[in-house]
Amino acid sequence: MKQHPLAWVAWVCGAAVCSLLTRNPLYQVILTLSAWLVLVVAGGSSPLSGGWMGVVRLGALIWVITIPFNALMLHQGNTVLFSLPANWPLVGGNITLEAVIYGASAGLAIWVLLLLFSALNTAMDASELIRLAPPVFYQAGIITSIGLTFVPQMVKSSQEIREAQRVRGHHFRSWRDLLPLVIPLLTTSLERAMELAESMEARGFGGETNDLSTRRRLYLSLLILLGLGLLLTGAALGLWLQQGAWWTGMILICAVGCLAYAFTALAQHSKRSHYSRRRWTWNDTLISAGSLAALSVMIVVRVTDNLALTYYPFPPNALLPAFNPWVGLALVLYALPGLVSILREPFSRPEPMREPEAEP
Amino acid sequence: MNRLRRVNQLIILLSCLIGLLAFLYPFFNASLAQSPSRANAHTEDAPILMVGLVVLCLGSVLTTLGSGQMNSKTVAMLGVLTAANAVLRLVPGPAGFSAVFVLPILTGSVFGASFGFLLGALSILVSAFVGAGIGPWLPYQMFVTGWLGLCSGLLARIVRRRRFEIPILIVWAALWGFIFGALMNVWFWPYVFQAQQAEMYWQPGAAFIEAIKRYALFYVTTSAWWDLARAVGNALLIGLFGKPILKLLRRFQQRFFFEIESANSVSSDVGH
Repeated sequence: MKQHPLAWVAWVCGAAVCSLLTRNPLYQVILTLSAWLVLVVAGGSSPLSGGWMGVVRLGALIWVITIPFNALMLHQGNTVLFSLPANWPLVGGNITLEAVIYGASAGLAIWVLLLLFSALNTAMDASELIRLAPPVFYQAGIITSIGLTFVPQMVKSSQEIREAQRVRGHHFRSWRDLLPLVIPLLTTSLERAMELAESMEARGFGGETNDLSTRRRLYLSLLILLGLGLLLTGAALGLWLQQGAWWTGMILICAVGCLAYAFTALAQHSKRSHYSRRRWTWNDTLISAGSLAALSVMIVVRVTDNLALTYYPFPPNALLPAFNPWVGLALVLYALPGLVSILREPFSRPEPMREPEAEP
Repeated sequence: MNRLRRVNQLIILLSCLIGLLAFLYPFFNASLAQSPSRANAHTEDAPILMVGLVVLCLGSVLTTLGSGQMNSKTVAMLGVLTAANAVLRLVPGPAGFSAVFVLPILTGSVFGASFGFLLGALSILVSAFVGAGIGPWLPYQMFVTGWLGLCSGLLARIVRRRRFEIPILIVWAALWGFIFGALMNVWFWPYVFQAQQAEMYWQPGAAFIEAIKRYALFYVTTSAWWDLARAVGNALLIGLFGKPILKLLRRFQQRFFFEIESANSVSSDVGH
């Protein structure tokens, strides 16, 4: 699946927020099926698919185990399936259908998130995600890139050191025997870091990543400080004191505005170059627009009716969840990356390997 | 430049404070509506808001720590040690333990709080890319592991006597085995099971003490044994490898962070 990383980010963010916004099992099932399609299609062309499918299976197993656990611990509800002796600690009492359904829907909400991020990890290359890092995180991005580049070398180095120590007669039997592996590995790594630093200096990387004056940098730092102060005030008023007035929202908007301005200003002065950018295609537009449209529908429904996306099976609420077809239709849009990929390459087959021609 | 440094320290302090409150909000959320359906509706906002809050704070700290103040040697060393720590995280240990906390603790003690924070946070990010997985839990893991490095740097400033360094670091590493687990549980505790659940789950509207009791029960029954394994593993690793690794890091500290004094300042020193 060769989608632009930004399209993937829009897809996963939209789907994850939708998953967090609702507990309705019908909507969760639609989202699960959409994410599953994407995971299966992405897995067909990724070497990472095996590992991530294992994680998804493990998540499903944990989910299935938590359903009876939840049913045994929670004894509310009118639809009694069976009863356990009341004198049994914790689990004694009525086992109800409501508790089973509630446990299943709560577990499904977590599993959907796991599924979404497994699909993202399978479909996208990590280096492409790092390239998306805003310029303001330039140095953090460089460190992450170096880290990712050096991981295979670390693994190789540790194997080489292990073999060298074995040749010298050292046996790795327990944790205590690992010291002759750890210290040479760290020494080699730090020596490599020294070489890397020298080559970076030789190529003109001096560490100064922006051309801001000290005064301007101080001003922007003060702005970040102000933004964080407002964020703390707004969050405290909104979440802890429950002062849900309009001015709480205004404080939070001002906080985000201050931070966004400071980050943008820092980013504008950041010296950064790009190499071989991926092209944005119509499919990327389709996926991003679909994801945003679905998210917008969810938010509009949520704002219009505060309880429209919630699900609570216990009395006096209805056992069957409500279903809004528009919301269901919107969530189907999260299957777009999989559908686009299937429609683009419906009959693609790997090219048959040619037999090497015999030399005359 | 001193003023800028102070402002940056304040930014890190405030970010950490907001981050901590974002973790601990279930304990202070006492005045939410008590009606089951209404409470259920409201609690769905909180995790989204908190993920946003943690991401913003993490962004502020990373921007402040990395805003053109690191030279190429620091960047290279952080990058390479990040790779080493990410590999350590992927090596499975007994009872889910991994050796990912050892390097942030030791480097934080030697190279300082900022270095420790960056190494902790970025090594979690790199290990997530190479196999541990990206998800909504990632900013929280980055923040907590960053705090571990940051606090280790601050601890080193308080405890200056080398004689007690290793015993103190052993206790510190064991303590963080529990702190990490306890903090990481809090981020999903109010989300997984909500109102009207059994007595060990979060209930919106519960008073502070009641929330603490519920969480303590949840922690002891679900996470404590895993955290015990992590604490013992951390302590063992620091005990076994702490001293030689610290010696090695200090040797490289002299090579990486030497300062060149200009001829003028040297001659003026001699003159005085």
